[in-house]
Amino acid sequence: MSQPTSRDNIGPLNGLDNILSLEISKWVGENRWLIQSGIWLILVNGLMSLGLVLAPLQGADTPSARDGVVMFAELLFSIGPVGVIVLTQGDLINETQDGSMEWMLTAPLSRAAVLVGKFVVNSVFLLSIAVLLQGTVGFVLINRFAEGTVQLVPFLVSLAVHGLHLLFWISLTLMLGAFVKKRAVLLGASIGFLLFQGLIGTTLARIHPIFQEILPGVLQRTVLEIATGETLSGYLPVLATGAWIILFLGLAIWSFNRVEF
Amino acid sequence: MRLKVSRNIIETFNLTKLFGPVRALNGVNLEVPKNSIFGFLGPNGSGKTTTIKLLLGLQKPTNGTAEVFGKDMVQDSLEIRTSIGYLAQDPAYHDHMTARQILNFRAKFYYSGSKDAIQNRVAESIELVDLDDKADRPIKGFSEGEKQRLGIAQAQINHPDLLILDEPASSLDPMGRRDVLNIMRDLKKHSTIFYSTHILDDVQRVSTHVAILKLGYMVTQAPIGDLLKCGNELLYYITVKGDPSKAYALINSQDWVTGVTIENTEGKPTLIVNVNDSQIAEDELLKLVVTESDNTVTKFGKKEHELEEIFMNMVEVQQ
Repeated sequence: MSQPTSRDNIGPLNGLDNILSLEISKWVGENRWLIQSGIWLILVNGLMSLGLVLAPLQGADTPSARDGVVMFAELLFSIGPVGVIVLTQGDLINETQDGSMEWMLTAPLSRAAVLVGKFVVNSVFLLSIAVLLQGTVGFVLINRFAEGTVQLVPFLVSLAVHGLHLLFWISLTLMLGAFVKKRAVLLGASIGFLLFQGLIGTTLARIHPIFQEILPGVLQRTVLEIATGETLSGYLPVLATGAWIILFLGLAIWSFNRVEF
Repeated sequence: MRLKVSRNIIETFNLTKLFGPVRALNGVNLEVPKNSIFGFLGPNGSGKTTTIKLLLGLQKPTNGTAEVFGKDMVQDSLEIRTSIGYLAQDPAYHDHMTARQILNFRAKFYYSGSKDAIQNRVAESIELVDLDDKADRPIKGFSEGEKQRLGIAQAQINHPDLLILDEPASSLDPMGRRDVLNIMRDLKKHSTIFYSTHILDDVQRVSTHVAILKLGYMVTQAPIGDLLKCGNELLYYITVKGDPSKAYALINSQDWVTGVTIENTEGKPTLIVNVNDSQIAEDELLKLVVTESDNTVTKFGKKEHELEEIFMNMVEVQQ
């Protein structure tokens, strides 16, 4: 009987391939991806379709393609973060509480690999479902029911910004999961930030105006500017969101490396 | 990956762990020899699990250090874990997986390459713990005993040089305990086994070495044979039928005998004889009583303490 080959290389992301398989199995194994695709379709494109179709029926003008893009962006900016937070809030905390994380960490698995694995797989599935699928369906619906057309390339670029926006919330939730032990605290902190980020931005802007440009909600403006072909008011929101994501992941790894089981 | 090991596979140096104001572990110096079955004893809350978690990198020491395979347990934790197998006190796995999937998942942390070879190793492990008929069922419905068997299977899947078991038999019925001890004996061929327990019977049956921990302090550690000896005393027991007074007088008159006491064992008198020369005692003592007293001897032997007796004495003295 042949013997398996021992792994000889130990690196900072040791065990990542195994964690990626585990995380993928959580999405694929019980058809979670299919169920979530259905839910997101109803919540984002279902609601947008109602707006596009019902307006003319109630005697209003047929919405323009720009109105459609605005509706799509507003829905994804409001539903997206909530969906991401709800779907990923238990990722670290559940496994820590039920003991399976402790079990995994007694194998040669690095803690950074756990976080990177969760971030990568959740990002791929959530962005595919919440951005790529919704964007594709949304693009078809807007061009079908709205007055005028949406250009494909600008719309695709705007979807990338939508994706960046959701990555912010995925990384924030993951980081909070590495810092706190209770889901209620995580939910309170992340939903609280979601609800009050406008107020936080305005308050901090009194210290320096830059703060109004570096919180993720500003990306909605960027999305609309790109999708409708308007002049881009700046790259700062995009760059800042990218920086936040890197910072959150770094903090998550730093904190998770200090967690004791 | 195989790590080079000197005489001791685990060594701790003043290992200390505080949880806030609580000192869970106080300057523990532990030496676990290679190829031993090392029983780590102590009452609840004595620091056994904390020590194990420190060795596995699940916690970090407040003070002191430890070496496993001669490597630092904090700096080289990943490398150390390639050669360790671990069974937790209350093992928790991903409940939606089957036993085979759990073992496959675990195996992939240690092995790469051919899937068939990994599957073969998984199959061997399933066979070892006799879970063949349940291997493809989700572990949600497993009994405690079955979970413990799965725990042992996953702990040894990498042919570890060091197997750490935290209370491996505490939740099992007598048959389950027997099975676990048998598996431990089998695994000793390849691994050093370091296990915590409070079932002293099991320790005496399988361990080669023992350490006793109390309130975070190391009370003693020694080969079990040394611990079971009565210190420097040479004691023999002779259980007889009938009045032991003649035998008592005979024994007491020998110049190699330093003391005799009579105890009652299951309704029969037992003479406990303290001697200064074990060779003479082994040659002469039984012969003396059999030939020159009126008693029939029902039991004779060198007296050793029971581990439970030693454990209770040490733990109570420390209080």
